[in-house]
Amino acid sequence: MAPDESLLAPDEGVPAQAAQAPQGGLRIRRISATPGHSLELGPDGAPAPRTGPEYAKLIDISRCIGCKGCEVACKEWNELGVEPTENFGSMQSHRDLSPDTWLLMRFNEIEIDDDLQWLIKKDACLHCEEPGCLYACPAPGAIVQYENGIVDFNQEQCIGCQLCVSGCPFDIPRFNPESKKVFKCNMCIDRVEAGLEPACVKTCPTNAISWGTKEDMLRLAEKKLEGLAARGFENATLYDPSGVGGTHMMYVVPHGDQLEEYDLPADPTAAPGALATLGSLRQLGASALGLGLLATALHYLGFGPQEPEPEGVQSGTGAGTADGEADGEADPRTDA
Amino acid sequence: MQGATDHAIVAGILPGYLSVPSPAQTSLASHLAESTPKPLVPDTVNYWGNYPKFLISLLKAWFGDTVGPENEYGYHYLAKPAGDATWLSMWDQAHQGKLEGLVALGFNPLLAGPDVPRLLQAMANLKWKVVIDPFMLDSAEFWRAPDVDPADIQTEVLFLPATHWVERAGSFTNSGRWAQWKEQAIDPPDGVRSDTWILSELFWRVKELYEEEGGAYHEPILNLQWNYLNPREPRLEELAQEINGSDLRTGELLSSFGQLRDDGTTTSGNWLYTGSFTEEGNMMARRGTDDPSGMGFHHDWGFSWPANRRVLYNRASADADGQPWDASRPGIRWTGDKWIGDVPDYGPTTPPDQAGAFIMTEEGVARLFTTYLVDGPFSEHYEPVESPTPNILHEDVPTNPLIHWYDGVRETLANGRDDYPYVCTVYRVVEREHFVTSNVPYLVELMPDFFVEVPYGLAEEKGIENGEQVRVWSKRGEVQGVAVVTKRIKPLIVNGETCWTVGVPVHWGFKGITTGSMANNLTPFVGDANTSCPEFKAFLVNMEKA
Repeated sequence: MAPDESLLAPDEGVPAQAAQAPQGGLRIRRISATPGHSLELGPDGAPAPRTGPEYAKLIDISRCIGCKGCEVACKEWNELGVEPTENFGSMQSHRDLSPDTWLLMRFNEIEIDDDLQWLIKKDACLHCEEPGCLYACPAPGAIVQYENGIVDFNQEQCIGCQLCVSGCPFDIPRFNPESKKVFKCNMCIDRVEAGLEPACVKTCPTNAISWGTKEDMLRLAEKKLEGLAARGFENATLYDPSGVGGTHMMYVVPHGDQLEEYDLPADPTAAPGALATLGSLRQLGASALGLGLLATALHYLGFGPQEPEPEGVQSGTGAGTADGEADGEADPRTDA
Repeated sequence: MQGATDHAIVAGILPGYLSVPSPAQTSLASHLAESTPKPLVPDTVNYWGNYPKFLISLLKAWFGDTVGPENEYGYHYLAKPAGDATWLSMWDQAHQGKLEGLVALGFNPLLAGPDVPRLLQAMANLKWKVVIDPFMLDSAEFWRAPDVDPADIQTEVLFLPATHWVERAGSFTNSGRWAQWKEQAIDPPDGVRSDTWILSELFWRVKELYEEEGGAYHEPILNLQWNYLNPREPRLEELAQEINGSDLRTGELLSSFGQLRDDGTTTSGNWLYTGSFTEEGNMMARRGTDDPSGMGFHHDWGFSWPANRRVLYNRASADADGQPWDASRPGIRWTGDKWIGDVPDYGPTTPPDQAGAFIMTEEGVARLFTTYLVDGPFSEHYEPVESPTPNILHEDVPTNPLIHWYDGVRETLANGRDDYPYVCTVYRVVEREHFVTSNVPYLVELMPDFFVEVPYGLAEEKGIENGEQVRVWSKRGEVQGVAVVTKRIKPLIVNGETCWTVGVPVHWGFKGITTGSMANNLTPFVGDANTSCPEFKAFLVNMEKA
């Protein structure tokens, strides 16, 4: 979906064409803890070139009015639970993201040259091109990145080790201690697969959230930055950090010199280090026991003793699931 | 709100902004003479000149064949109230014990009006009260309000559970005047009735009592037309058609209010909505997205009153020659023989020099001053009744001298700012809609607690930390909530003195899944001199850490 042209400011124009729905199901680009999975990889283990569109969400912070309609749309579409909240001296609904709150509008008041700025940032998964969570994940198939750029958690394969949490440079995934699973925004992948925009995009009343191919969104961002510059926001910038290979949720930031005030890390990085480690242990890769041991070991290193749920350490056949997915036959996601 | 106002939920008007007759207007002729403006200049459209067509068609819609020229089209069936029925006057009557009962339909009066302590006294004076609503409202259980002893209240309250708008079809009119039809989304719970069933039953039972027992002035009830497929529960489409109106000579639905006549041969329940449900179908249900002008008019989507016009006064968007003032954003344009663009204010082929641009005024032009305001003709600056400052324009007349003062209200106002040094204002938040959203879990999650917005500097002065509980009180009542300390509210320098403003949101009460202080505990029982709109936006309070 291209942004509605009529809702754009006159100087913003519109991207060239509407993004097309992916054809023939979702193709996987990367899959956690599964080196050499069925997709053809380049010689360095990098994913093969894309065969379909790469999507992105563009958040124009300058157009957001902080209504939080996107938060409700997210919860409704993804059937997330109601959480008791309390006013803690802010217009912000929750103090933090949670397994039931995948999207949080963070509010911050700052003064720039005696001019009050009310910064409102949509906090949710940025769907990195180089996903630190996926690289850190020891459970085969628990985190997948689709060709379209969406990084999705498959709770059925999740062993609850929370290495993804430490692997994420944006502090996004949240662990549910009851289910021992980790959750985050999945970019409404079921909607995207059906050719629809994510629920937050659909509901935004000011068109602060746009959706389309990454290429179109980069072009739109350029127009928006020109418009902001013309309005005197000389530091306006696009947040699409290269340290994680760029993201599939990008921000147009009016005060680009104040990234820390938006809680946006200036130089986030992620690299497939964990994956490489796994590669050297490939002989263990096929063995559920081996992976279980590895996961436990990694978890122990990171977090100290905590038994993963026995049913979390299952499925030495995660790669098999991915095979099916790569053929466009099945969706390894079972819930969410 | 727009639709409710269009259909006369506001005191003093009939549907379509026609006038409620006054006691002095003893005949239809005198009412029409006083309600129909005469053109003040030649060549003005003066559209209100059609007032008789609108009123007589309305009377024919209501009373059908029982009215005609011989009985002044039923003009005498209309109430001609001597007093006003504005919000404040109504509750003042109750406060004085002069109001016996009250029906609240889809409305939570206790939380919506100013001076809740006074409203509670007024409600307790009622003998009976009927509340028709999907939710058990604060108003339906007003005896449970904080600091109220139920033993002191003898009012009989009847609660009639009614459908929510998701449980029935119908239309909404947005503030751009687009009437958009919607379908029923879910079934209502068992035992819940539609508003139309409830109101029909009320009508039939009163009518049956009149038929059995007779009674003074029964004609307006007995002659009211109720010709529906199921007269005990009309369908909303039938009501929409009745509102649209029809030609009694052909029986066909009208397509434009231009077809209305003042000879009793047409009906219309609201002339503004004529064209909304025609022989071609329900225009409000249209969902065409074409927008050939590129101006966002979308003429095939829903229906916009009047005449599917999307921008009121669009004639004023073009110059004397009919060319758009802003060529990049044309409203309408004269091509030499017709208007193109939006549905024009004028007839589609009326040349631009034939009449003034403002078709609803007798002058044909916009007004810089008017005789329609009680405190006119020019606007004047008055301070709020509770103000932190004298009126430096005229100290002897600080507030509007034409405000109506109800008994005992002056005593509820602060005398200067010694005891009440801060200005307070009441508002809504975007996450919530009045009080109904207290029952919606996801929205309560977004905005859970009653709060008080406190300016940063004032919080420093008072030693109030962000997130602490604070108490705010006026001379009328008090609230308590979480302090949201913010730099968004700046101090004002008023006549050389620093003046702090605190803000409180209106969405909380003692019912629903979130409860909290009622903002209107604080507000004064005073209305604007012209509209009687209560003075919610500026009054005086004091504040301390709770």
